[in-house]
Amino acid sequence: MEEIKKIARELLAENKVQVVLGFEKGTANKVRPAFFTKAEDIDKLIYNEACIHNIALYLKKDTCQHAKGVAITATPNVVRSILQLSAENQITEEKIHIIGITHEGKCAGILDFKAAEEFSKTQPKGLKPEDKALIEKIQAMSLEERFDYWVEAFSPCIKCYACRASCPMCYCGKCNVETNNPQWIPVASHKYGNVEWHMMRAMHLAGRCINCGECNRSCPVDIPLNILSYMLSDFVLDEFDSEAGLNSVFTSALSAYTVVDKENFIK
Amino acid sequence: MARIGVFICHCGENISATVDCPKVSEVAAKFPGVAYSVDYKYMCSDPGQSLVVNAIKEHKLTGIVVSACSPRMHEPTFRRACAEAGLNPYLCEMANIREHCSWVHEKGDRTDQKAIDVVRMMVEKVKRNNALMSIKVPVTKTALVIGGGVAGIQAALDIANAGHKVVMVEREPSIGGHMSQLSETFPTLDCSQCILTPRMVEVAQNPNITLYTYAEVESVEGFVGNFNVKIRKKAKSIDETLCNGCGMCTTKCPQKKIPNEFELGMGNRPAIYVPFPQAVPNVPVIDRLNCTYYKNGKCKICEKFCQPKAIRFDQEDEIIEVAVGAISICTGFDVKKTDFFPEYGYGKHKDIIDGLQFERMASASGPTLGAIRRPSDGAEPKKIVFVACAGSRDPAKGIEYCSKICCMYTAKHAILYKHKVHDGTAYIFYMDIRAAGKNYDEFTRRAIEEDNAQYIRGRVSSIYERDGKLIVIGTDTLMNHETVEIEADMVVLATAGVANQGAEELAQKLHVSYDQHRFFSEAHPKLKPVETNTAGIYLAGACQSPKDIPESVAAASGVAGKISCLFSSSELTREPLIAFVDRIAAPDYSSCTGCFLCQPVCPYNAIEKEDIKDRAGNLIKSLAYINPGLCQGCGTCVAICKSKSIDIDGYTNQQMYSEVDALLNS
Amino acid sequence: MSEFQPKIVAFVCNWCTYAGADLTGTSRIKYSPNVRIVRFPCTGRIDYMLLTKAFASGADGIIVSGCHPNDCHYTSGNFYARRRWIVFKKLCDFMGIDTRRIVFSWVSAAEGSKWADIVNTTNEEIIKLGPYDSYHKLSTQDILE
Repeated sequence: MEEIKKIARELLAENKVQVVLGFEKGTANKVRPAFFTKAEDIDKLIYNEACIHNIALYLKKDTCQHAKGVAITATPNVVRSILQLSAENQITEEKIHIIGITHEGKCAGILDFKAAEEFSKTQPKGLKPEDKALIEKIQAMSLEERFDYWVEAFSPCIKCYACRASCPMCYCGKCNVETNNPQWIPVASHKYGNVEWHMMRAMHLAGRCINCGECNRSCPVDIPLNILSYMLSDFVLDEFDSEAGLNSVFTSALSAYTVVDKENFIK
Repeated sequence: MARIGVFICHCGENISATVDCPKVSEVAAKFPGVAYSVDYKYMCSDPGQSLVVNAIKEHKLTGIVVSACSPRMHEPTFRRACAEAGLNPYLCEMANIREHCSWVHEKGDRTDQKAIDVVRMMVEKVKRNNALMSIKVPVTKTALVIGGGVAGIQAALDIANAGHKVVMVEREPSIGGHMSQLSETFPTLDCSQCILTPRMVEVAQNPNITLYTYAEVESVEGFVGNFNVKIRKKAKSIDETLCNGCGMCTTKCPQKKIPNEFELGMGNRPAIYVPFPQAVPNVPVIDRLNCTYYKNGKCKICEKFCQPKAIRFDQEDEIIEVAVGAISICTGFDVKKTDFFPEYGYGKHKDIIDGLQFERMASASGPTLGAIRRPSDGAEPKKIVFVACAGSRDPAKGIEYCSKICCMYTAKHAILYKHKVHDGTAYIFYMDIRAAGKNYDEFTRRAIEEDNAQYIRGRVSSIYERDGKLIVIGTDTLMNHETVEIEADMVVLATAGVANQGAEELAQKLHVSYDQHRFFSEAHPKLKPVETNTAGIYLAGACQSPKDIPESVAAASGVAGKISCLFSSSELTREPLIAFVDRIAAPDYSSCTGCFLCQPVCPYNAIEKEDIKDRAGNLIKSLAYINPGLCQGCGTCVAICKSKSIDIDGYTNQQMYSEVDALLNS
Repeated sequence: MSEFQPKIVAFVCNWCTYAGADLTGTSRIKYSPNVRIVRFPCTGRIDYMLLTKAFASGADGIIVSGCHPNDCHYTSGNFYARRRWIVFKKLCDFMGIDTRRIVFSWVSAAEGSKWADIVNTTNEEIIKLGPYDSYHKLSTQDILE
């Protein structure tokens, strides 16, 4: 912990970065993401096992966008998000100073993108057993049951878009759901609108989701929507050998093809 | 408010026999936004078209739907009618009720309903059509020809003779390519140089052609009609304007033992050299890697003997910039060397040569002056084995394709050998004899019947040396798969034709695609065989796939025809049905997020990065920009764009969405 | 509902399948009139949102068809489309959307009879499956629930 603070403090003091993105103590024993702009404030910077939010999200916010340099305390999920954002031309390496934190909570020092790629490869990834179990449970259902399951699961959705707001990959200035000419997705949070919204979001994240689970955690009505993009990222890995968040240069399963892609369903 | 006109064609009875046209017209008249609806016997006839033109004027129509045959048939006709009536031609849509309805369904309510639905769908679409202007792009009427082999020469001459300027770039010190190395050509056995060298001289003398030899393309920017090309003209160490080609320097050069590339290492050349006597231009170059002066700082003998004082030891590479409107890639091919074959001794046996080396040996101007001699001891080989498909059609070697020219040149080699060594025997191991082409099969028959070439159908498994002989072990599949052993004096491998060195880098500079074997890819294998998928860049010759001379020349003339078409007017007009990225007011500038996931899916590399900067020049945002000169309108980027920032005229999101909507909410 | 006539929407590319369907016409091969064709420049242009939109608007079956691999007029649009369909189909399956009702095919400009076959077999298959009520209901029934 002291090591993270030391690095952050130095970076700010030397003006290499103007913002350090990390966590501070919140109310009632909670933690909250915070922007640190002064070296003396770094005393408040914390990192503990409660700091699970994917703060890569904030790299696209104005405070970071306007700074020349940004440091970020980065757990494996955050590192993968950063790499994917870089692959999608959303951030540049010169600006970002990654202070790596391993899945065991140890400081891994400052990582450049190359080191971050190596770091990402060594950190545990893949689906959690409980997520895998849920996917398998759904897959074992009949077609009608699956449909009913999802319609039911989405029915409490109030279209608050917290899933979108918490997702580092949902960075579009104007989301498809806000397009009204044509109105691709119904605005109202009725069953149809909910199914189409979550389906569209899953398709947009196919091959890009880094499996941080932030969407599920932020959902106020506990929809297991992360399962959709988890299932797809697992599928994309199997099918196209493509995995998001491991590479800082361009990769996207859906912006590529091979002549031999499996097409047994095409007549 | 839209005022749409609907015109239902009976097409004689082609439509009306099955579809109740008056009823369709009646129903269509009630669609929201339809101001006029009519049915008529032949809408494409003159009176039919006048009906359309008059209705547009009279009813002040803002768009029309012609419900008739396939748009592939008469869309241009009715677009013209619109234009004649003063309506933008892109405000016309066709509802296909003939090919897709009356001709494929039985008479009945469901068929009528389908016709009505199709019309409704097109009415909803045309309401959302945009008035479009065809795109005009200026054209620089100069062509760049990369590569000075026979394909490049043909393309350059044809374009130049059509009255356009040509810039030709050749990597080697002379143009001529592989064809200048060949002895004689199949199936006529006329001497290669005799037919080629006059063409080479023509290139040099044609006032429309600017020739840069010992030069390579450094970079290419721009798009069809407007390319900016940088050419690196490597230092020849000679002032070309002064050199008179006397050749004194090459005879006086003390360095004489440099393997001659043109002779494929079978002869030597000096450090200052002209690759072959008929070279165009006849200007020597100094090979700086081997020149004594550049190595040791002393010598300059050539300079002493050069009367016109043309030697320039301090010459530097020159970058020449040219503006061209079209580019023809004619960079040719290469052949695998004998060291590619472990089973044939990795090229360590001197008397195993490749086909190109045999060409030089058989050439009257070659290292042996046309005599067939073993490279090891200079003896005349009495038994010679030709191995066809050496590498080709061999997935294990990574070359699955047929190199196409080897069957024919191997037959030619056998004939040439027999003409030079009367008492010799030529054996040819082959997989299949592929002699499709005018007079080609006759030619291989001639090798077998008149020149007694011994064709053995089977592969050669190994070749090794024993007592100065080469033992060739093969199999004869037509003789019960018996093992054949031949004690040969010399072996010629018809090695696979492969993509030329540097093809990949060139493809990347030009943004054209290439296949897994690094051959350049044509835009369409059948209908666009000489175009690349980048507009304004064309392909000729063996850089595309192994090709023989007539094919290369035909492709080159094809390219010249294409380029002449392109240059036939000073502006290029293109259908405006292309994709575009939205632009909105500051501070967003566009809903495009600049993720560039659309960039790799564009087959035409039309998607570029556009930097939005503030007045001080600071970058605000990088956005996708679709170059209208390059976009061909496939719309793949539209569907890939997550923020729906890309749309495509003619098939906009609004149009397609409302079509689906109209179809089903009836 | 013995007389159930499904609504089938076909999303086709301009260069292969649309032309192939034209050939079906010029060859006078008969097929079911239950299909409505929407023309796109390329399968690469076809948005998956249009497929769900079609279901929501009352389609019982969907055909998506374009040029065979390697035949794309634009060289590679169909390859990107294929990848998208592979992923989309997986997602639909997982979400319980009936992918038996979405038929993907390659029909070239020379395959007029194949087009008629595709339409007819799809039509028969959809008649067997019945109307796609479960999806239609989503968009109509529960709006104010």
